[in-house]
Amino acid sequence: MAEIKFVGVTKRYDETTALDSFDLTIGSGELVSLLGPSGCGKTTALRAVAGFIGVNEGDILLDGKSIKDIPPAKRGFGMVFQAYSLFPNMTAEENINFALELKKVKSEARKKRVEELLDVINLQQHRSKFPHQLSGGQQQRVALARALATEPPVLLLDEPLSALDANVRDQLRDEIRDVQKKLGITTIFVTHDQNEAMYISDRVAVMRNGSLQQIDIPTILYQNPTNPFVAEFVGLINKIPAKRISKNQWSVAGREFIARNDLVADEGLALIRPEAIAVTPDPQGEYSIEAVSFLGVVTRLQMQVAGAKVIADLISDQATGFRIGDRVKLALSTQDAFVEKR
Amino acid sequence: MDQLMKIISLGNVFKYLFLILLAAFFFLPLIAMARFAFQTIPVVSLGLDNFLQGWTLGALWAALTDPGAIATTRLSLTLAFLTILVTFVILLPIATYVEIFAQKYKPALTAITLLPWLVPPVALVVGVAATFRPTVPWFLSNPLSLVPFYVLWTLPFSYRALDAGLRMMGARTQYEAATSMGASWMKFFLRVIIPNLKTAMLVAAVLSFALVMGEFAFASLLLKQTLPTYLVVIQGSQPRVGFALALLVMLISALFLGLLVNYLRRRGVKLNATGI
Repeated sequence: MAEIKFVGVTKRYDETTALDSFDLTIGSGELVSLLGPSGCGKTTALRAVAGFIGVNEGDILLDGKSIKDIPPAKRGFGMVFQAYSLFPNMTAEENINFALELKKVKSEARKKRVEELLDVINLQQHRSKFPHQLSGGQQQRVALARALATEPPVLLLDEPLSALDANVRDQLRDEIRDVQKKLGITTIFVTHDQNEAMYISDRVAVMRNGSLQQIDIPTILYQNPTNPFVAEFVGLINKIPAKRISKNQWSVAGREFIARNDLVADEGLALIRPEAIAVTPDPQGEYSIEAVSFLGVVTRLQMQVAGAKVIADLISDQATGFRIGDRVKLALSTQDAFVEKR
Repeated sequence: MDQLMKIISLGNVFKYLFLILLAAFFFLPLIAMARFAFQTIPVVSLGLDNFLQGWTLGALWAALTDPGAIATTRLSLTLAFLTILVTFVILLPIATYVEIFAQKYKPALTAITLLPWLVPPVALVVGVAATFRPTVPWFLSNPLSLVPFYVLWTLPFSYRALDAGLRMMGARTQYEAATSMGASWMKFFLRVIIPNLKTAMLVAAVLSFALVMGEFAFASLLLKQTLPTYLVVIQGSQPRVGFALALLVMLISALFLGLLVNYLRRRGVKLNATGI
């Protein structure tokens, strides 16, 4: 049992507000990603849980009890950093052992636990190597083992994958998820990479300017974003010039629709997902195909609509006939579309 | 192509010419010193024809057995050792603290640690003497009173070496990692900072050592007989012994620095990485 709760947490630096009455609950055993552009406050939130920074207002609760005034060394959370953080003077094994030693685990029990953890991260054969002899991925695995060594109630991951090569990153991401699920440890994962967040998380919390925009399971976040920022930040989205007809009524590419949000302007941009655009061949069609990219399951077509580059994703089977220069007709599915300022 | 080759070889000629000139500038005085100290030929008749004649290590022996030389060497070594010790005890925690918690004070600290070289020793000594002579007269009468001056004076080197080491090891992340694991500040300092700063500490120590072993101004102004001030004295009374001793000191300092550079190179650390 370990539930983390942010209650109206505000953190101000000299001139900026990094967290602005931030509320969020991370359930026991859940993996929640904090996702957002740089400066959105995601790292601040994580570091506040870790105890490295104090908060100006609000509280952070662990199972209902405030941890705001507990120093980081006493919180007992496991943490993995973006920068390689293994102690350079200790081998892989000694790094893990040091964590146990600090928690005053007895020598015999320490040995056993180190063996277990080396098995978990599959680095038995590299146990006596120093950090500079290990690859980036191996170092982060040791860091993960070290963070988990003392069976902490909460695991904090501060962009642990962002310094790694793409293929290592995917593998380690899966490993982290596996271990996390197996242990059922409450985990906060900070990232700026939406794919990573969508892939690994139970729920993703999208942040902007220090406050929570939306928290949901990945599919809902993608299919039903609650505001234009989330729609734009999560997944690909087209921004197609649109004209306002009346109050919430807009017109885009010859199609009228009711915008989901209020925008007082004569012109705007309609936010339409690439798969919400149906493309059909039509010699008299208004648009012409500028590029065709085969991406495996889907094929991406590119057109110009009202002066903007627009992409449409089709199932590859249905897109075999399209060539550059073909005239086409577009049908936009505009239900629940957002509009934003042009 | 030919023209290019010409330019390149011309460049090489200049390069070697420059190196030869530099070597001459550096070694000729040393050779002159050595001849003066170790050849039993009057200075006026020293020439190219008698370059190989009359060499003897008598002056060196005299220098090594000279009671004054032994006493002042011992004092200078003690001063160097204490300077390094005091520097580490004071500077290491401060530099570590600033690196981890107070990055914004770093420019200030960098500037302050340069000050000792902007204030001339005369000004420093006069100022300190004016303060201490009337209030605690015993302080400046003890030869070890040079230690605080030397700690200050070596600061530009010692701080930069330690600071570079702290930055290279990523002290801040290491601190957070250790803390999240439950380490106290003391544990972190002893088990993580010190072992990982060994190289930087060695650089700081060797540089401080070399500086203290050759420092003249402070010792002279405070009327202390250290090895460098003694060298001047003995060069007046027994010039040969003095020069032999000076050469020896120079050789030992060069040896230390050479060993250090070699050690760093083997560890893959470039000397400019120490921030000097």
